[in-house]
Amino acid sequence: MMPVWQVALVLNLVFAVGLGLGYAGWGRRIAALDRDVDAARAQVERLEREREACAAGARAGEQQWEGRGVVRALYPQLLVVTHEEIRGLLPARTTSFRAALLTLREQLRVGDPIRFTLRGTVLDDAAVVAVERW
Amino acid sequence: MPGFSRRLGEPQRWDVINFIRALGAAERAKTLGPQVEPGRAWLVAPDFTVSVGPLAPTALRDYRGRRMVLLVLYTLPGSRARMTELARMYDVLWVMGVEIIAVPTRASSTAIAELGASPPVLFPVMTSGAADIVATYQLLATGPHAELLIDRQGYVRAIWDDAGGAVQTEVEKLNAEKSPPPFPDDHVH
Repeated sequence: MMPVWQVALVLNLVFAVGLGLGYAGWGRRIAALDRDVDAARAQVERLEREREACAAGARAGEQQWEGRGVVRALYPQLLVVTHEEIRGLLPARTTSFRAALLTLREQLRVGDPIRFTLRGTVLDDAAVVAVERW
Repeated sequence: MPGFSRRLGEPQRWDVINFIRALGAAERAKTLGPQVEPGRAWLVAPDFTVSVGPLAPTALRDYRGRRMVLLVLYTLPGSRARMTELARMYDVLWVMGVEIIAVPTRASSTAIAELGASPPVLFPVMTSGAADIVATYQLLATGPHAELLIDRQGYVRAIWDDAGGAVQTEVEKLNAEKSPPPFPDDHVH
């Protein structure tokens, strides 16, 4: 016969180990679910950007991103902008974008705050297709 | 400061304490020169908000642990040649781990445009809140143009009261520091 205190100790240990294992397993499942939700959300956002681009006359597979920033430099086919995060594309930073509009240099000045629209399949081929004052 | 409790509210008492601390730091800052002294970091750079146009503002302390900061207080037209030089060397300084933050001594919402388009100035240029920064930092560095090199931990390590600073040399010294100072404790007693 085991004394009562040993029985209580063994039961407590069993409970502790069981709880720990359950918590760890559950935590892993929650993390996996979080990743799945993030991936699904990114997919939905991508489809939404493709739908917007398609509605604006883009080719199949192209997406459209909206950004806000300040013009830092203007070249004939390049626009350098310090921008906020462009969701689904870039964090906040200064980036040079290809300009699809050749009239940008006449419309804009260095220091202008702008809202702009980018269109492309990935960052490397994304180009500014619309600009307006912020 | 219990003796002032009847005359000043708590925020005002803290303002007085901070002002006295700033004056003390400014007096000691006179010993800081244009050359980094390895292992000697004591002057914590006063924090401020970095505002570029309508973009979401950041703070100077956000650079801690990531990049050194060359804080440039400039006055046009006198500083134009130096600002052009800094614009040209920005890519090199960036690779060396330095961000430049330019603050006009005469606050202007069109500060970026006033610096001109060529060469392009791609570092942050303050378009609002400059007056407070200038008032604070001119306690440490006088003159219409001044540059302060702030290390990755947030300490002012070199001060130039003119536009001729050999920034790269001093940045190399900071990059070569084997045991950088600890991050400052901003808690005030």
